[in-house]
Amino acid sequence: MADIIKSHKQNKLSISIRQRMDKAPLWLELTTILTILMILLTAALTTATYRRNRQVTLSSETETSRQMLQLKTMNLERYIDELAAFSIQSVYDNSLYASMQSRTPLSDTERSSISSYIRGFYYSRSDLNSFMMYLINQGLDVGYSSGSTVGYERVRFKAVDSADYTSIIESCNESPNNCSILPASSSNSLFHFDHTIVRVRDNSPIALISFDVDLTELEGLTQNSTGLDRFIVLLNSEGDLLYSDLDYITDNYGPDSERVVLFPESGSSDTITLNGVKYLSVSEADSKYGLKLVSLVPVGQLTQKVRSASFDAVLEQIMFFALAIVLIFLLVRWLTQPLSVLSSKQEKAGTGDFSSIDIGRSREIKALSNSFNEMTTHIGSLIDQNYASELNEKTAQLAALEAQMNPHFLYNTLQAIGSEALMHDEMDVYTMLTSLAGNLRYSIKAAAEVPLQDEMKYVDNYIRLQKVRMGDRLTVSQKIDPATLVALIPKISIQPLVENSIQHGIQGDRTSVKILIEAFYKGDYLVIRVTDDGIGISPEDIGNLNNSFTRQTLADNGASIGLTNLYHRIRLMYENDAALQIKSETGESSYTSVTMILSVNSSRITEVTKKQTSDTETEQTKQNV
Amino acid sequence: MYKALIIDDERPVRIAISKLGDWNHFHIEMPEMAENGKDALEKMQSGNYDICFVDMQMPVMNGSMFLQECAREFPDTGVIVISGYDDFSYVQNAIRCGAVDYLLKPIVKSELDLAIEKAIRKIHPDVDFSSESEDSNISAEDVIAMIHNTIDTNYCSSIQISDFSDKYFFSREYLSKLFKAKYECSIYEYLIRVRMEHARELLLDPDRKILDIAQAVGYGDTNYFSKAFRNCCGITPSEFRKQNNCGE
Repeated sequence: MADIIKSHKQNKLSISIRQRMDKAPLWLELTTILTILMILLTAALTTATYRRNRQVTLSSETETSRQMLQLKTMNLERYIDELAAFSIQSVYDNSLYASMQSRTPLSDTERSSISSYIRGFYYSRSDLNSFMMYLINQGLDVGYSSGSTVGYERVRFKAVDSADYTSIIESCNESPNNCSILPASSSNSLFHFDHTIVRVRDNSPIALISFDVDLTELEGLTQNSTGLDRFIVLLNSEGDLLYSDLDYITDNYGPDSERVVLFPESGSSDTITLNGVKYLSVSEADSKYGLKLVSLVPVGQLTQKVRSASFDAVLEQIMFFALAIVLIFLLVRWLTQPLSVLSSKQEKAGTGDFSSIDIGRSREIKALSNSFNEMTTHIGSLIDQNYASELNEKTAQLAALEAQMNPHFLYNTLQAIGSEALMHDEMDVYTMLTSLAGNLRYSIKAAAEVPLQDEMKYVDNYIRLQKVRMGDRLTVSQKIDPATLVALIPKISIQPLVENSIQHGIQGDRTSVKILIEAFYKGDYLVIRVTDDGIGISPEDIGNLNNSFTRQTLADNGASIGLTNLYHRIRLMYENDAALQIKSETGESSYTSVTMILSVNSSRITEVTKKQTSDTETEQTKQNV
Repeated sequence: MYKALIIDDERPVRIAISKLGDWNHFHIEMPEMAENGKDALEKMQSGNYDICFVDMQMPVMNGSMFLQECAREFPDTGVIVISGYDDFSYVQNAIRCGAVDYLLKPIVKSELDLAIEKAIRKIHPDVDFSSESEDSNISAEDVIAMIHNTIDTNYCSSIQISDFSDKYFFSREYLSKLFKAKYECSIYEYLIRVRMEHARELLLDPDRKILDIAQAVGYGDTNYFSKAFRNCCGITPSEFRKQNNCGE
């Protein structure tokens, strides 16, 4: 059920859309479609551009990082070389070298000599935090550091367990340059550097030089001129963290087993996520010492850059887009304009305007307008022909009718017939004839309104002619207020009432009818009432009749055409200032009365009164006589 | 008595006006006739007409030409225009040319009487028509009585019904019918009867010649008289004379 309703709704929707589209002009549809296409195209282009820009930015950043890292690695390598070279200086001093090889306990002289050497070494470089020498044969650790813990600077001699150094020495021996780089023990050192001194003769280690390098070199490592946040991670060959300026790594980069961060292989790039932040990471390893430099750039920053660049591009695109829409609109209007002209022209042609059009622009449109012109011309000429032939026919008919109905001929003939009747003393026939002639003259007279007395003359003639047919079965009495005689009323307005009364009066079992015609003033209205004593009209039929009054078209039930016609005529002439009321009763004292109420326009009366005065006077005179 | 002239080339109009007009009431003699404007003007030179009826459409001289002439020569005549048209400009033109009133064909009696009165009053404003005169117009009864009378007295002259029918505007058939209904014989039968009665009386006088007698009762020659006499009495005039002479 719900589905049905839904599908019904959809149907309704599609229908309403179709209806709207039917109503929408072509140019609007075209513009809309082209605009939608434009939007889709622009969106696709923008997305693609954004993606490509992002890609380009990322790869260029990767390249930049790599080059920078290479440079830095080189610098670092050179620095380490320097350190390595520095660390084996002790070999070149024979006495020191001898002391290093000596297995016998060191004399004081040797000790002071060693300690001055050590001090010398320490001070020969400004970037050392400590300098230590482990004499393997002696099992003695000689060190110098600037640590404040001691309180003064001095070289310490300390006997140590050789086991402490075994791993370091081994790792140094394994490395090709006899050195190893380990994370520094204190935070103010960059890393810890170990180098074994090897006896050339048997290639056995005799001493281990180790020192902490301070953060001087860091400046070169962290130097960053790209304007982006860039973090550096320094790992040794074992993968231990030597340095990182990203706190998250410093805090979380643990021993082998717990390494949460996997940096990409040397020379490659990858994106890694640290603490929820995405970084573009590029790493570069130094081939000599196995040091690994990783650069981390937040991807967000890069995309931000791309985005802000894209935003400008989108703004531009929107401007172009707006321009394009305006152009599309103008173009579509320009292209479809001939069609709308044609369409409106066709509508006009429907109402009879057959003028030709010229809307040529393209071949098809030109063909359309040409065929339209041909069509309208053809239709126009057909109509003209038809019209002309019909007019000719009508004119011929009218001429024929006129020849017969030529007033002179007609009235002369009537006069001849009448005179013939007179010669036979047939005064009744003559009266009938003059009544008929008078009514004929009256009914073809071109006047919408006539004085009431003229209409009454017409009614009298009509009654006279009807009486010839009906004899005593028709009785008509009149109660006309003399003041109303000059009132202007619509021509042939009382006669239909009388005709109606006669028609309805002798319906059913009635064979005779009595009719009363009244005319009087009531306020500003002239009331004309015709009453008959016929069988009356049922309320139902009165309702039907009133309905047919309100309808604009004429009633089709023959009997009431006269009244309906009259109603529409007086409504046309008087608008709301006229009415036709029907009252009726059936049964014992049945009657039907039709009352016509017309507003009295004083200006109308005076106009006629002047004209009629002379006649009235004459009549009065006659009465006097 | 006033004099009236009807100017119309059409007989029906002349008949209608003559018959419908209440001439006695207005102290007017039976109107005289003219067939066109020229005729009428000639007649008006000799006779003095008080009113005239003129049709607007006539041969020789039409209504409007006549009106102009009449207005110039006989300004004291009341002219009533007769027309089939009910055109305002037409009527206006007629009134401008001096017509008192106009009548439309077919002529209605009441309108005719009104027009006549108007025309008379134009010339004689103080005339009084209040005195009730007797039924003015000669009825068909009067006419057949007149015919009967004429036959009785004037049997010897040649009598034509058309003389009466044309004069009093009744059709011959109507008059004959009425006559037969009243006197139980046709006008000619009656005429012959009257003539034969007189002839029989005259035949009793043996000195009179038959030709003489025939002429005395209105026959030109004896043959025709003899035929008529035999038709009427069954015997020839001479046989009738012999019988009567024998009887003596």
